[in-house]
Amino acid sequence: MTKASRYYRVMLFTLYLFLIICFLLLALRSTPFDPKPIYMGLGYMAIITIGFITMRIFALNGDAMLFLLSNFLCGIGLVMIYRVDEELAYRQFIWIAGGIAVFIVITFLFKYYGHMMNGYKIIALLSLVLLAVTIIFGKEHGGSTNWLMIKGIQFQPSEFVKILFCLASASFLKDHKQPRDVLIYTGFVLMVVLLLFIQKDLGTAIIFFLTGIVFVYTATGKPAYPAIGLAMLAVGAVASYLIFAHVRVRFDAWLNPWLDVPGKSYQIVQSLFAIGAGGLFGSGLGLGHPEYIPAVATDLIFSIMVEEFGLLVGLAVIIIYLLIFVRAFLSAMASNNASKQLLLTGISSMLAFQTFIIIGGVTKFIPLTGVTLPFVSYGGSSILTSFCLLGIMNSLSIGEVQ
Amino acid sequence: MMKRNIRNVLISTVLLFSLLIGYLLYFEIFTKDTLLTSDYNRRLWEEENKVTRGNIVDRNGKAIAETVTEGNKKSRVYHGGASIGPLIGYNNKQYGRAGIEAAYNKELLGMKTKDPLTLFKQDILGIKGRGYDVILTIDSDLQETAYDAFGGEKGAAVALNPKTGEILALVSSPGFDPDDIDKDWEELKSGKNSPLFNRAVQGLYPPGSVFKIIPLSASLENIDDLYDLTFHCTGSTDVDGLKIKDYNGTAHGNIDINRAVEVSCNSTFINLGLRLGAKDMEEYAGKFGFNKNLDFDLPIKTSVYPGPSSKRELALSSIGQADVLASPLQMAMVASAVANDGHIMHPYIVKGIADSEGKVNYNRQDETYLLPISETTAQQIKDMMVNVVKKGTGTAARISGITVAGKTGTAEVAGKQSHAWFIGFAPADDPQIVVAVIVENGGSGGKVAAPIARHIISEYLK
Repeated sequence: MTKASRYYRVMLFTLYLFLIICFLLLALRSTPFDPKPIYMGLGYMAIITIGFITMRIFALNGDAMLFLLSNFLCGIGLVMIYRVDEELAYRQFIWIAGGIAVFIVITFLFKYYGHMMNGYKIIALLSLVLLAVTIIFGKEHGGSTNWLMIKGIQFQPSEFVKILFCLASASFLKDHKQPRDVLIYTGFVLMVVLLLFIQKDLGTAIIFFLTGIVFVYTATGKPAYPAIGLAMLAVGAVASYLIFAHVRVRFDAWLNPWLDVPGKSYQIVQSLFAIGAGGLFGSGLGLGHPEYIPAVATDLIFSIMVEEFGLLVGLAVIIIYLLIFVRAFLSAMASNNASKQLLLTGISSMLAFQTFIIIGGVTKFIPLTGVTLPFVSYGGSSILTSFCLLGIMNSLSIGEVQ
Repeated sequence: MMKRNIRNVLISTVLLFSLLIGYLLYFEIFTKDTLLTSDYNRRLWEEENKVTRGNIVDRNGKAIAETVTEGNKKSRVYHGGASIGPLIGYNNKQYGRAGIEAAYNKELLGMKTKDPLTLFKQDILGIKGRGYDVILTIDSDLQETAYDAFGGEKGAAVALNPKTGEILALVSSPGFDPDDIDKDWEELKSGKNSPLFNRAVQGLYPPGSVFKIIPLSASLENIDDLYDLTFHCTGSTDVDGLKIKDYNGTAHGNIDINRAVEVSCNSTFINLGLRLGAKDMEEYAGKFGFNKNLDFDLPIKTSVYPGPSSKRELALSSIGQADVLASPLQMAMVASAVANDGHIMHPYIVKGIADSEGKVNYNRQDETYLLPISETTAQQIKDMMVNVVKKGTGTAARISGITVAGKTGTAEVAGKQSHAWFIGFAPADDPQIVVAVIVENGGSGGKVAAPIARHIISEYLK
């Protein structure tokens, strides 16, 4: 038995133990004993086991690290969602199962990505069209018009555009590094951001913009580009604060949440109460107050997680994310292939920005803009996209990190 | 080489998340606690549902506020009607808390004095806790009598035991019945007589002639031949062109200090104030507790004696006018210095905290708060105050068989009827109770405030 496989086994059993305890607690919450959470826990553990064996047997060097780390996140998310809304948890269960399948398929198939790396024009066009279609046919949802409905299935195109955006960016920048090329690329990024801004999806717009900056910097290595990019972001932020009421509301709620607690700053104040109430060790699963927190299964899931599991678990979750991101960056550094390097760095940064923006937002570190917490929040589009991005990272990492 | 760039991205990412973690720890350690006590936090009320709120009882063990449990329903019931409202306050999910209910919320919920281990055990075992009882120094019968004596007029009264500092009654009129807070909220909140406002400790008024105790103390201790002086009163005094009249323009003629106090002669006290000077006046006002933040069981307003910057201000301030402002509690403290041989005991209203079995967890100790005057001075002022009630402006406070000492005040208010004041104590040779009474825009202190004080004293000493 290798050292690595021993690590994996310890991690896997820790994950099992965590899930068993949590789902048992959920089952004990009602009297008489409710077996449904147990079934879900066992079902989820079965899926993890199948996924794990598949990864270990068929993957080149049996790298199961990203798979296990992401399932820690999905697991805690699923437990929280079950605790908040049982119905949602059944659907999330299916999304996670689908996500794991996507992850495994992409892990195997993405090694044939070579010819995709020249199709940036088509991919970029596709992203823009998808976002434009959303604006025309989109449905409003929680203040943002970023949902599409096709044959009764609702999804968020901006989530899938994340994948396209990373592919387009990497394939273009890998051999277009001149200032003129950067200008063209900036045009593309700004179009994406503008389309998202029109949908009032501020958080996602900022994620794309920042990821664009990372792509340019990684490709060129010139510090001037990120400097200009951040200056543009600052100017854009000030301008939209002055022009758009919905941007102003978010900033004001951040600067002084106490001015209008029942109104503008309702979300952030409820989130802070929850995080504060949890303390280091939490109130215990099922003993918090998710009913006070808006969007508790999606954007504000971190708040209820900290309330019930405590800040220590919250910090552990942040560290799990960091492990995933750092591992991807290390794989990128170990590689000598420009496409791989750009894709790994870009995708990892994109997930990192998303994580940072929502955790920073719900804790009032930065203004709150609603985006999902990758792997944890409820949502099919979010789960599938996150697993797809992770699959790409995993596929490219295999053989790079020992 | 792209590897260097990636390394920089990695470092930036780790830094960014380290900042976030640092911020979260800072939040946990420093900002969390103040945040959680916000009235917007509904978790606090959840906590409250788990415990039975402790009772508020008076000095004789009579419940003023109690939690009544009927089946699963808990309700807060108050005894004492409108007389206790501004003092006890209310505890309401919708309107928040006030008064003792607010100031001692944590004790009443049993959150403050229980050690974390006990709380943890109760949590684990699911024991529905009971908060602590708060025992007041208030005599609820006296409180009601005093409140009724106002007959709905705007005003306030403070009665205390000068030897201990225990507040026996703290009345603000008009009050409100805490039982009716839900029903009457809009009216109470917008009511022009502000019934929610505790005038006894939060109201600041020009004290007028009751303030004369302070220049009198300063004169007794600083002017050697005070008793030999003769003051000439023409009913009006000219200070730098400002004519300050005596009450009703009465000319008291040639009088000594004893008579000046009995008739509350403004000319004499202006004369004394100018003779003492701003420095002495300010010093003595400070000695009696003006301009000093008192640590009290309820939120209070500090009484002010602004250092006079002109002769006119000095003259006016020595008869308790100009910008001198005092709360009824402050004036009760002034009287208690005279009653208690120069000692002002630290006033308090919460005597102790006890658990449901009656075990007292906290017991307030008496302590001297200020020592503004000597025992001799106190005795001299006491003699004069006895005469005020016997044959001066305060005859309306006379009680047969009891020697009452007092001082009246009629504080002028621009464009309105004067505030009527009375401060005093009884029995003069062994004071058991000090009272300070104000009737807002009530007119003459001797006619309006003194009878209320008389009522309170005779009820307490009967």
